[in-house]
Amino acid sequence: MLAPLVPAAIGPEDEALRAEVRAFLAERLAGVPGARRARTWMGFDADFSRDLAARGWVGLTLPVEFGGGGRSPFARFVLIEELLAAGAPVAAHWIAERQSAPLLLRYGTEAQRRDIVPRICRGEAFFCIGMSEPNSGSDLASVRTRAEQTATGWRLNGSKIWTTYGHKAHYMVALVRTSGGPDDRQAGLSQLLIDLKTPGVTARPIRDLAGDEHFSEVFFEDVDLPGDALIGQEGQGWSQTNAELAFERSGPERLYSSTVLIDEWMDFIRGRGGPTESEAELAGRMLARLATLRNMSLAVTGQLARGESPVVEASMVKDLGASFEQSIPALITDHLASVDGPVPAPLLATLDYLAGMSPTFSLRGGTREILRGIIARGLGLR
Amino acid sequence: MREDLFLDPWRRLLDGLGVDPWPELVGSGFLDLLRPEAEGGAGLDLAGLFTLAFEVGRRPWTPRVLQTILARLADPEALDCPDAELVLVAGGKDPVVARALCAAIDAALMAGAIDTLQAVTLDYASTRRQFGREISKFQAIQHQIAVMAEEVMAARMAAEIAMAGPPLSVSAEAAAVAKMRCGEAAMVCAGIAHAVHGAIGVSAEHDLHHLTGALHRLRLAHGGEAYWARKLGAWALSRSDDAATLVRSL
Repeated sequence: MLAPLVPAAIGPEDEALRAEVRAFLAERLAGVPGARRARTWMGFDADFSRDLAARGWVGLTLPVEFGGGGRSPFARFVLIEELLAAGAPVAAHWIAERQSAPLLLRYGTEAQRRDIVPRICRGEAFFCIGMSEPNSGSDLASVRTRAEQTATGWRLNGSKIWTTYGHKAHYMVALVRTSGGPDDRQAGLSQLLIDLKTPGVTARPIRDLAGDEHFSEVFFEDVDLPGDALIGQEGQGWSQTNAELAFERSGPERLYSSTVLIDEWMDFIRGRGGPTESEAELAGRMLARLATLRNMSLAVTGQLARGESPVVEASMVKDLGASFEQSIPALITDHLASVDGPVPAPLLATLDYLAGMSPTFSLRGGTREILRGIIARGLGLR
Repeated sequence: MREDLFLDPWRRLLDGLGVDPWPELVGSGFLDLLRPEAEGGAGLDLAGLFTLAFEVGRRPWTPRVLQTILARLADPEALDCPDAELVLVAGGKDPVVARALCAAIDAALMAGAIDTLQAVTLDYASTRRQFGREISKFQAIQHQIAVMAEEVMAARMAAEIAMAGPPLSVSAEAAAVAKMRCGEAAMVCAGIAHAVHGAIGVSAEHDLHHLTGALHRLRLAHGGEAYWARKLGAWALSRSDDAATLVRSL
């Protein structure tokens, strides 16, 4: 049995950030169609990321001495909740800000911390995460991309696939084998920092079903990396990666992927006059789930703020959140198919995008099955 | 915190109740928890009552103490009350307010019952052996119990938040979230618990049906998921706010 989540509230100082962010987004996203905004943290816009950074909204929780805002995790919750709910295109800086900067601050060399982290906070250094490989998906311990130690550092060979914006990022943090073989499983894996401009690196975008190029394949051919490319300890890449995934899995990006669609649908219903009972019921069911998920996500943020590592709790919120986000396109399709009269084309375009892409919600950041395995282990069943 | 002061004596009282519990319950003073201190009550608020209600939910064989505690807000002599909503409305409480309050308490009771359901299911899965090993070692069972754990967390959160507002009232919207989410969790968890237990779970002798039976009765009481979804949705669609703003105001 797990300890219950403790409800957490956002303090007035952090809540005060909300109006400012909303005002910025209302102006910056005016006229952007819902189908575009529905991409949220899959939407890449480097100018938008730099504009956010200019306001101090990239690296909000990172230390001031490294260019961050020095604010609490709850301030960041407010910021990213608004960015996601509005459907802001935040992909360019998202991974660097959420995972890579905290990772470098914890394990990086002093030079990396001084050089790269401030550039992340200025929206000038974008990161991708190299995990999956052609024959290594959820079973990450089977990665074959390998770095051999040389006189000056590391020589890297192999490839990564399904890497989010690998063709647009400046750096990759990759999980690679540095010792042992596939039979050693997690032992012998390390995290490497790869400057993607290094000779021998090529990245090729892969088109997704919506026509976007949000992921890519990245190849490494005799890529020579400096000795300090090793992040943290040799052979500890697996546990470092898992600690990092707790950050990735706990946030509101696991709740709000379909809210642009909910908002467009609610506006459509409002425009038709008083809702029918079934319309009110559908709105109520979606909002009750969203409200509870938000309180759970806030509680996990509270755990992070207290310095805990809520790996199991974050997995629970992500699994529930992804199921919720995935259910929305199907529920709204069912309702719209029962409506007499035309449905606005922009609403249908948003629906079309999310109906197509929503299966990824329970894949990215750990599949449903992987998460349930983590939860089962947390319950003592494995 | 006040509720922590009450929690241990409350558990001891619930676990020690005999065949004639009401004189003991009256003597304990706990039935007047919500009544003002000036009138001999404890002046507890709903936030403080939550963990106590959750503990009652965890023991679904307990007499109707929560209904009685609520009824005593309108009728100080109430005893073994089957439905506080009727007493509160008869005592002049607004019917909408009375229903929301009762629904929130139902949600807390359901969250507690689901918590016990998870404990007995975990225990059973870890001891029952089939195919040469404990059934908890099968991934298909592990994943079902993981889903149950998620629902346990979600139900408790929804119920606790609903009771964390004003001292002695619950907004219809907050009650809607709690009753709906706990009702959904109840269905999912009752289904998984029975699936894991197999035939023994539907025997009269086994305790499981006390838990799942309580959940079915609580789902029926004071408005179910569709009832509350319509209330919440009508409220949301009567405003012009976006979904994120709406859920923040709940």
